[in-house]
Amino acid sequence: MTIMKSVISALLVIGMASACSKPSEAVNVQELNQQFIGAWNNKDADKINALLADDVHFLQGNAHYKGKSEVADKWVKSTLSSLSDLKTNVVSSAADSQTAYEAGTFSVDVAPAAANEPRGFGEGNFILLWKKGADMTWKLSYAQLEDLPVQVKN
Amino acid sequence: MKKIQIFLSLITVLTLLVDQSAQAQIGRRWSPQAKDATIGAGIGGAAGAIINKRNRVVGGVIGGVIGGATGYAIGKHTDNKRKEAARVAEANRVAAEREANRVAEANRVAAEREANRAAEQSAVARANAERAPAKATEGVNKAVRASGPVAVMATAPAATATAYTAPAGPAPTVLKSGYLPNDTYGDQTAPYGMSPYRRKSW
Repeated sequence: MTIMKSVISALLVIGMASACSKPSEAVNVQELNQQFIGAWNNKDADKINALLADDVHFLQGNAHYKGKSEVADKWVKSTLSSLSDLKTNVVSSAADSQTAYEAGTFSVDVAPAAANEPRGFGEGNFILLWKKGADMTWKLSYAQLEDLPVQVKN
Repeated sequence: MKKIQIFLSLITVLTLLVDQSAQAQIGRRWSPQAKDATIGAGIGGAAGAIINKRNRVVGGVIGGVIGGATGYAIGKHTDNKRKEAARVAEANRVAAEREANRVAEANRVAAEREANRAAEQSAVARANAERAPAKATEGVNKAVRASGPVAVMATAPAATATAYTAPAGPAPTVLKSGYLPNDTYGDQTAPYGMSPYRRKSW
């Protein structure tokens, strides 16, 4: 009888301990990307840069930018002024406690580069990979874009 | 013995006659079957006549038939080999001709594509040349606003000189295909520097 009691007590303790330790939750990657895309559409460079990881990689065509400062300068700063109405269509997505990604297609309006140039309409494919940093915040770790030729917008 | 000589002479003469008349009738080269059958019949006939001493005529006929049949078989075999060689040669000729046509077509398409690419590059270059003076003028205007009237005199000749380098005709701002030109075309460090179209949108 004494053995029975001790076994039941042990099981109760184990059960309570396991109930107290919550499983680590996966991040809401849709929300992360909505923040990111919203910052682009609002032309909020500071918000975009704040979401970049220090060791972020950006790949586009034959360009490969590494590090927050280079990506902020050569991608964000150089592109932000010519872009509006950025939309994404997610094809694949997944998230766990440490990484999350969304990938699919995007479309965007392109401002004319010169006064006598018409407006453009661009499309392409994207992947945005997020990682949880040491400070427990989620940052963009890897972005890859494949842009199709910009068409004249009618 | 005299009979044998007469008989052999007769067969030889007959063979030659048949040979000549056949050639005259056809007017072209003999088929291998006919040629070999004739030779076989002649040789077989002669051999049969020699072997069959009791009845030279029967021996000659039997020998001629056997020799003719054998000769025909040999000739047919030769003819088959010749036809097969001709068929292979014809197939090779057709394949070579098809390959030559394919190469010619590929060269034609490549040349056409190269010509189109050169035309697009020219259009992009003209578009960029058109944009460059506009940007320069814009920069000059900014400088004028910043520095005042003295800077106007200093920078005006430069602006004029730049303006004269612009092409006479209107520069296309849109390529024929409906895409925008790439103003970073040729810049290896740009993401899509090798594309005559503008590709960077995001």
